[in-house]
Amino acid sequence: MIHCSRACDESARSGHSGSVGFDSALEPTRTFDEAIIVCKASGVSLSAGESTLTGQDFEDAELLARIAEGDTEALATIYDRYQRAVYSLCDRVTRDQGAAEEITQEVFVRLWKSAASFEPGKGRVSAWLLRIAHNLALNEVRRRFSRPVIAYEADWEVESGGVADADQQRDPAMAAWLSERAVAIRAALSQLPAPQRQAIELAFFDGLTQAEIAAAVGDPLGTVKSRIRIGMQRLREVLLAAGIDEVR
Amino acid sequence: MQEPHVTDLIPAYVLGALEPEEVDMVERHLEGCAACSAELRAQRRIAEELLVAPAQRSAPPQVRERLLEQIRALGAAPSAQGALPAAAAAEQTPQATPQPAPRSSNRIARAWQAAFGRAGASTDDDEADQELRDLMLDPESIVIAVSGTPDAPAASARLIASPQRGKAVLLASGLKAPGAGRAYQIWFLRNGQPVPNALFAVDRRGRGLSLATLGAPLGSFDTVAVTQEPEGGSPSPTGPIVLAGALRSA
Repeated sequence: MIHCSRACDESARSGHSGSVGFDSALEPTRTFDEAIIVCKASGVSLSAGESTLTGQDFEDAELLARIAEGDTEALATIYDRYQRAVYSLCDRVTRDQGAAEEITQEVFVRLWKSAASFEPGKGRVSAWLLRIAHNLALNEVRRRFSRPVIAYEADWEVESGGVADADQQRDPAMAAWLSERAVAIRAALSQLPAPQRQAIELAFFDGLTQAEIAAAVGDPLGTVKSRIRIGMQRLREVLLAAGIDEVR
Repeated sequence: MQEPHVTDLIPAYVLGALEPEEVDMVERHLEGCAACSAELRAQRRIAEELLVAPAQRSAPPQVRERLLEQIRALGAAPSAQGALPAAAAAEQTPQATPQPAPRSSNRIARAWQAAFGRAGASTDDDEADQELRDLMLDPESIVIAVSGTPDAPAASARLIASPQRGKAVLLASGLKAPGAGRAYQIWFLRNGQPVPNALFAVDRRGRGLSLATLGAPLGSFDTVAVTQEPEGGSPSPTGPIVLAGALRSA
């Protein structure tokens, strides 16, 4: 659905035959009804947007195409958009600023090396960056502690204002989009009973297995398993109710 | 005997909380089970959202410096060596010859960002003005009529675009003030699917001027439309269409 700029430039150069002069031909207009017919004919409603790409995805694809051409400024732009989300995740998982800094850097180096083979239709850049960050950070934690037992902290009990600082100004649209998502997931988490939330956090951010969680919190394994299963199911219901698409 | 479904294990699987032998069992089962695969996709979606749950704080500025230093040291031609998990091999053939940047794309990106981020900006946006002048001088430019819909019968607009430039300027008039906390947003529809574009405000006389950067040839879209959205924009339209125009005379 997204074209990378390289493809676009090529087709723009070759594809434009009968060019129309500025002062000629006002094209026929499509009315509202006709626009709706277009939508219906293609089986997509304007507002449903099951896998609608956001404006950020649209621009990210262009930035990636430039990164693939060796444009360091494009990489800096992507970094400015996502460093906050990536760094925060690394910081949470490793609980170590130095490690979080190194992993953040490594994540974007990997993007630089991989941009040429990135296929925009397959997924969001932000999702890719965060998955890589998550994996690297968990690996770091596992490398350092063979059996990490980490005290539970209610990290997401942060008010929605927690994302406001100077660099938000650098990319207000992105900041708004990410903060909207962060607020939604935190709100969903805050609706879970504390033990469910804790189990999910210890698994996802601290890299513990269910058995390790059971040992850490002193509850039976079966209880921990139920907490994870029910907690994730509730998160899904709350997010769905909040309008977060299930599939993209 | 049929293998039992692994539905109950999938939440723990996506959170990485299963023991290695459980992981093996889940993965074996997933290979042949559409129902559990669907459950996996739904649960992965939740995990993806969880990735942004931690308290947000920025990396210290030196991370950016070190990163750019390392990138420059790596050289200017990233290769496809570290293929992304989702990437297909098919894209890699035209990779050998790096092409010169065909246009000042950084400026485009910034213009787009500025336009997107600046909801409620003044209508005499410098960049849109400059682009409008450039488009007027470009012999390739075309003008597309955009009409008010029944939701905004007094509105009309012109989209001035050049396929070569990858940019378009929308000049709208007859629009109502969008109201506090709201703005107008441009959409380009491809096969009926709206792709979000720039936001704009209107002046007291109901006129708005906005620069749209197209990530694809103009001809690959069929319709341009404008809706009213919360200021800051929407990923997909929420308000009624107030302006619409055909981009292809099909």
